[in-house]
Amino acid sequence: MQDLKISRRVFIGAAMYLVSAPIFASSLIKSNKLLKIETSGQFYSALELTVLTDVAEIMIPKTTTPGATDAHVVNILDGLMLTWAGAKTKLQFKTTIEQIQTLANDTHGTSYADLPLNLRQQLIEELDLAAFNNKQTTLSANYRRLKEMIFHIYYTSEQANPDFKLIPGSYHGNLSKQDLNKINSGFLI
Amino acid sequence: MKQGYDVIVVGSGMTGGWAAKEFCEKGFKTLVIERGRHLDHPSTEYKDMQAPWQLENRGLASEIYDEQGRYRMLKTKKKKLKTESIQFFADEKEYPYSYPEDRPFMWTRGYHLGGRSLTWARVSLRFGPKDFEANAKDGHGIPWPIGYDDLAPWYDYVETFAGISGNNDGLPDQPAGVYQKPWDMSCAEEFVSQNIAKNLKDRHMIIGRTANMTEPTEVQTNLGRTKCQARSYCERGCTFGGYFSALAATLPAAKNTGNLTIVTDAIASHIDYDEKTGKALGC
Repeated sequence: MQDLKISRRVFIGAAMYLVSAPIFASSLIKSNKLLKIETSGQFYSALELTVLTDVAEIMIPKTTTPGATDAHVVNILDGLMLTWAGAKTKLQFKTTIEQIQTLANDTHGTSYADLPLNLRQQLIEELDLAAFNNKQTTLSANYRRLKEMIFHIYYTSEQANPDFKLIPGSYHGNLSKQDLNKINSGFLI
Repeated sequence: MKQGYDVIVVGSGMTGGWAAKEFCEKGFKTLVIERGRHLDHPSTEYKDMQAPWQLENRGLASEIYDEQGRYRMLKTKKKKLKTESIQFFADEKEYPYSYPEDRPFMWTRGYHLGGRSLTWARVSLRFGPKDFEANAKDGHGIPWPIGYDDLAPWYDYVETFAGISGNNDGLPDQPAGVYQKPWDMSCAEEFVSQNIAKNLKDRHMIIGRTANMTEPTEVQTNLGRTKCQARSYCERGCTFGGYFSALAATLPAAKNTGNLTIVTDAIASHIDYDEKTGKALGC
């Protein structure tokens, strides 16, 4: 039997993490590979969280590196809407979700969450292209802002920065590949 | 009992810190008055020991500040308000200042011990001989009463204590100084620099001269300062004292003499002036 021991430090650490990034109850819908969020967050409804989680994962999919879901991007975003976002951003991000739902209905005659994965990916890819090709529309501004925030949260996550060193110790402005390999092997140069 | 001082320094930033150090080291009982709050060094307000995911709001200051029209100066300059550094800047809505309508100016302030020396840009270039002569040669203004040679020993003095990294590039407009080992250029910078040298003989791309230490001296180490970690976290405050600030360098040096008294959260409202002697008596 596995020996489970949770020290006080581990418990407190885990509790602090839960405060900053609560894990939403979710289930994977196998038929269309959608991660359905079952409960509402602090700011977003369960349906909005489902759309956001999917859109974020399409933007930053899990490959050999962690995806947006691994980095708890939407969990963090939900919290930030209360501690960081102003009224304009709150409205902007809610509107973006509504606009994505409208796009799905207008294009495929069904809700975003009911679309198969390939159509959801296609929808977001086309929205992305359109948003950056024509930056004058409200949809473009809303979408680009949301995308910027999703990437900001991802890039500032622990999961996306496995090699982060708070105290690097030294600086080399111009390294050869051989020197870099030496450093990565633990040598000082 | 009323405490008397030989010297009162108003403000504890870049200039106040230096003044306090010099007076204290010369044996003067010195009082520094700072209008802002007290900060230790290292300070609990420094954010340089937090990973990106540990920063409040992932480093983004609340948009409520925008909605309330606060920190406009900082926003104009930095574009984004950040939780890692906003604590070191004064909010002009809380501390307003006035100016003639036709002559507005930007005034960035930091109300805490050490002042703006915590958030300065750290670029540390000397004036060259030409800078003292150019206006007279062009027929503008009043000729400087001093030349580069008068100032050079003082540059040496300041650079030696502060810890400036840079290269003596042999350029008359950028005179040699007392520099610690320069920072490396990146491969892209090296490439551009070499090609400029090859193709434009009168143009030079050199590494910056900056108050970020690369080889701390014994004096600097004894003040608790260590070399810069090249993290670009300077505005968060530096636990290492890797860049020069009043809080990390001049004020600790002044304190070590036993002649320094610091009073924070105190504004000097006036200066008592003796018309007979032409000197300040106190404030």
